[in-house]
Amino acid sequence: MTTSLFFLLIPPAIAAVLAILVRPYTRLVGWVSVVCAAISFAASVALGAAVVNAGVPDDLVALSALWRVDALSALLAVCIAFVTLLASALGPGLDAAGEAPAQSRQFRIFMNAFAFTMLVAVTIQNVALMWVAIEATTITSAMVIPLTRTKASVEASWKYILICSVGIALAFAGTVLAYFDFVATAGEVPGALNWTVLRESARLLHPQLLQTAFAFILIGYGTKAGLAPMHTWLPDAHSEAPSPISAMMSGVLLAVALYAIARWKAVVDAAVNPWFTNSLLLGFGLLSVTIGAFSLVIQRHYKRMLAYSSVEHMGLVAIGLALGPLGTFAALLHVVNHAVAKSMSFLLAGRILHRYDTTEIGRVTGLLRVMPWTGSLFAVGILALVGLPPFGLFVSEFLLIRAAILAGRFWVAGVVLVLLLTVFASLITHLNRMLYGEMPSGVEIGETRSWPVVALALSVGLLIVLGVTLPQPISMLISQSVRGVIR
Amino acid sequence: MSPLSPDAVHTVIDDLGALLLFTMILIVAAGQIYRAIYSVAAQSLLISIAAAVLATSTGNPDLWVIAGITLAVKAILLPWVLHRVVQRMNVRREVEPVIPIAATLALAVAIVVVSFQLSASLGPVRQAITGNALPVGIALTLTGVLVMATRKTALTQMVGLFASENGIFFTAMAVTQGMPLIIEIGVILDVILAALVMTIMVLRVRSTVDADIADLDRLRG
Repeated sequence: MTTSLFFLLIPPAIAAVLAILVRPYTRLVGWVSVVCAAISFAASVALGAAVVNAGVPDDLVALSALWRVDALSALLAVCIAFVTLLASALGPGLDAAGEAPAQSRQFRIFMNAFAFTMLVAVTIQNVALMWVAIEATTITSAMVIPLTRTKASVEASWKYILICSVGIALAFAGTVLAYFDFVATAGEVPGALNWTVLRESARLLHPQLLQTAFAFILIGYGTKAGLAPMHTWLPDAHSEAPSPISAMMSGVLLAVALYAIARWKAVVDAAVNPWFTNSLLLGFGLLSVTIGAFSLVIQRHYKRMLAYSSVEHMGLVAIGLALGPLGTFAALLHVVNHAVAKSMSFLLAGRILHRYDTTEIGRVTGLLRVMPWTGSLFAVGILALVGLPPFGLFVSEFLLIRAAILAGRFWVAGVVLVLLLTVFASLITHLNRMLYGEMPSGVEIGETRSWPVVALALSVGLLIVLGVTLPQPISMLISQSVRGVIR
Repeated sequence: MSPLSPDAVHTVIDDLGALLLFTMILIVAAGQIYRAIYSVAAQSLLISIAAAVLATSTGNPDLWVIAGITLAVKAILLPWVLHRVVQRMNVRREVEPVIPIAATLALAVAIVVVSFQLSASLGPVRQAITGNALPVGIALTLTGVLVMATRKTALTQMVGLFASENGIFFTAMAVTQGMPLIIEIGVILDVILAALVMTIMVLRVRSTVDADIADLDRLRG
């Protein structure tokens, strides 16, 4: 497993360093970075397989003093590496024609550094170093949002870095509080900030202090996860970023922040009645779904539409985490499904933007005739995102509602259902306006660079497989993850 | 045997905390960007001194390293960079508050009161914490956020962010008597990188669009 971890983390780092060293930018650097992303993805799958095969019921697979990969880490690592591979393969800097070399170079440096920081965040054992890695994801991704140097994109990036730095500072305050309590009760122990050690000794800590710490941590990482009302940076950053970066930020970065919350929840739940963390998560989750749903109704830009849809989906994941084992299973499955569906949709949105040169829904018309394949895949992506069968998100949303009912929280189930219907109605209306109607004059007709479309069709296949059969390795990985965070 | 008694350390940390709050008030009250930059530099200097005091009393060598890094990076390097940006790029010298400075000052006072209330409510746990480090840290952090929210110019917002991180750093240090060194270094590294990225963005906005990051109105929706 140590080998797999090595091949998971090192390739993105190599790709980033290579992109820094090679000046001026050549296409070879781009292709090397794609190969590195592929190696990293293969390693993540191997890691997942190793965790499932090891079948350690009680997670906790420590690899060294610094690293530890359990089922939950492996699950997130697979998602991150998959989306990174897509973003790398469809990002700028691979074609002979097109993008400016300086932009391609900048993209390759920071995209790979961004992937590296996310992978470190989910595999590191120490909660404070995980914090450092998550803060570093903000910096690396903020660098690449203003790739096109428009005023709007620089502003979006600025807002992102300010709001997330403050949020993440609060998460650090929470981490420090928990650490202080640990040191005060148990003394200076090596590895005092490791998940395992913290959780084992959580019962000895002061519940009151841990509650305060969790409130800080939830607001802090919740800011990064796009939970309302701290989500205000998200629509700007996700819509102004280059599409491959939007795909990574929306598809997996939000999930990484929720991963941190899930880990801390496991620690706090060992000391405090889970009712406390559950109510907080339910509150933020429901608010996020509500705000996401109603913002979707009035959306006029399709990239912002996808961004608000992420707020909604992260809200659903937060609700799931609060609903016991079945809810957590649904939440983690939802993370996987959302990563696939949202990254695909953002990458397609990038193609649409490239062709129509506008982000307004009202000015993108006749998409199905202008770009038949891109249009239909985009439609599939949206249909998956609203939770229609046979796609994976249907299953996870269904399980979520079921978990709410089984937990006796009927009103949660009811509210979520109503909000999901709102999302459904508004997204389908927007989609309808884009797909049909008169083609605007002056827009070129037909697909160009069609191989990305093939790659994205694979995502659709994946979503259908996840929805129809839910392959056993994945469900085993998820159930092991659930056992890792819930006792 | 440490040369300082625990009581003496408490007193010194409390005094430094009071001075930190004073620098924070200076930042809030500053009408010119230069003053805000000097105030945040003074604040970082105080934190470096606090680290040195704790290093002497606990005999933890890591804290000396932290004191040194804080002095070099936060008290000298970052303020110098900000100062250069103001000078070279000819950005606006006024802080351009969204609401009047007097009103922000009143809010800052309210934040300080609330912070002390909040940490008093933590009850028995609080007694183990060095002096008033916790309320001071919370107050610094929240006031930093206040500065970010109520100032229009990019550089003043950066000063707010640094002040905010100073608050967290001070609490972390005083409360735990030193986090593990690798973590403190990671935290400082993140601050440096964030400052670098933000400086690049400020310069980029100057060079591409003839405007400062003054309003974020266009991105609402």
